This record gives sequence, C-alpha cells and structure tokens, in this order.
Amino acid sequence: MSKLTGTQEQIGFLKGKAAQAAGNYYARLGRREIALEEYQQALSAYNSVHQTLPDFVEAQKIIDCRQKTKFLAETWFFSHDFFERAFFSEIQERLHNKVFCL
Amino acid sequence: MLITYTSVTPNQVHPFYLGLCADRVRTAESQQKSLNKNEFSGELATRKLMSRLLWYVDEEIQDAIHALSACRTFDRKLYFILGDALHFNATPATFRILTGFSFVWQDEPGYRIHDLLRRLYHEEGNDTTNQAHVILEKHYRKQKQVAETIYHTFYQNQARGIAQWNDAFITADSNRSEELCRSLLELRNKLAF
Repeated sequence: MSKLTGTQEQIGFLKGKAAQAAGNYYARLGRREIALEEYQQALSAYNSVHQTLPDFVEAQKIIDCRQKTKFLAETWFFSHDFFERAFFSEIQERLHNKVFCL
Repeated sequence: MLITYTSVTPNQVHPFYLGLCADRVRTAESQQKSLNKNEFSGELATRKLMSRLLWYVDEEIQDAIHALSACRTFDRKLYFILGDALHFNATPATFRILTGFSFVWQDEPGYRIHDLLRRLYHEEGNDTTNQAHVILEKHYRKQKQVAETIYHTFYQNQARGIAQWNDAFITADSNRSEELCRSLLELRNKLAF
C-alpha cells in the first residue's frame, strides 16, 4: 500500500481538486453526465475535508453548494463556466488556505 | 470480500490465492474470530503465495523482481538502469531468465510483473520496490513522461502525487492536449483517487 503521506485533509482536498478538474474537462467536451458525476465527487471530497475541520466557518456554504449542484444536475441550466465560478473557485481557495496552513 | 481481495483484474480471480485466503477465513471461524478486509494485508496467505511463486527464484533475481514490481511496464533498458542503481546483478542472461518466468507477462512494448505480485509487494511495503519508485520517478521526469512520473511519485507520497496530477491535468486541459488528458485520466482511474 502506498504510504499515506500528507494529512488526510490535504489528500481529501487534493482529490476534490482532481475531480473538479476532471469535471471541467468533461464539461468542455460536452459530456454532461460524467462531468456532473465528477463535480458531485469534488463537492463530496471538499465536504469530507470540511467535516474534519470543525471550526471551518464556511460549512453552510458547502452544504448549500451540494444542494445547488443537485439542482443543476437536474436542469443543466447554466454553462459549466458559470458552475465553476459560482460554486468551486471560492470554496477551493478558502479550503486550500485552511488545509495547507494547519 | 474474498473475491474482491483475490481479484487480479476486475473479472479475474487468482484460484490459488483464493484458496489460501478461504483457508484463512475458515481457520479464523473455527477459532470463533472474524477477519475484516484490512486484516488480510500482510497475512500468512500473502506470504505463502509469494513464496510459492518465487520458489525457484534465487535471491539475486528476487531483488530484480522487487525492483521491477514498481514498473507499470519495463524493458531491457529499464532493467539495466534499475540493476545499476540498486546493485543487483543485471546481465542479458539474468534478463532472459527473468522474462521467462510465468509471472512476467509480455506487454507490448515491454514486459510487466503480474499485477497480483505487484500489488502484494506494494502492500508489503518492500524496501527495494520503494527505492525503485524513487529512481523511476527521476528517470521518467528526465524523459518528460508526465503520467509515469506521477505514478511513481504517488507511490512514494500520495499527496505529492495527486498535487502533481492536478497541476499536469489543469495545464494539459487548458492547452487542449487531449492525449495527455486521456492518459492522466486513465492514471487517476488506476490509482483510484
């Protein structure tokens, strides 16, 4: 088994970032179903990171995002760029600062 | 659980390994103990299987097998690079012997150690295999083979490996390097992150 180096929080955050990047790629190619799966996976990974950081004040925001993602998954109303800007960029930045400054 | 653990690929179970693991479960049950999946790692069954596979292999060749288990695929050139760096006796004759074993599969353009044996060495945390990952990361970085570099980084340090994957994938996607994107996605699937 590969060594578990880096904290669980760092690994969880990085997995979320990987899923988010994959989601962007599939969205660019117009592969909607798989893009949404990746976005859901990204949010789930970010949420698991948040759960290990009980003092993280942005908790509600992530939970809101999960609900909104579900809505978007059903409607695909917005372009993936909007999706990306509205729900991921800020969360990712805030989590990055939190996780890597522990 | 047994089927999953003894699977070499999604639809292929190793019968001897399955038998050994089933014996292990039966023994545990007869002692009124239950085993969970984590307890299989480093188990007696694993040791038995590895010693059976390597029964006729001398120590020099075993070192080579430990090292080559780090490779997704290898060829003669990589064999000599690892032999030189890890000080095992790499000669054309030993390469022929090694590639003649049943657990070394021809996998164009090279060879690979059987997936099950590779997985067992990873689980065992074999020192030679770990050192080989360090050497191979440097080797592939020089060759600018991005996916292979990340693969060997990941097995040394998960966080560093995933961080490198993220950087490489985001760059490849923004440069519209479709082939590299596909190769990195395949790698991510393989490494299950």
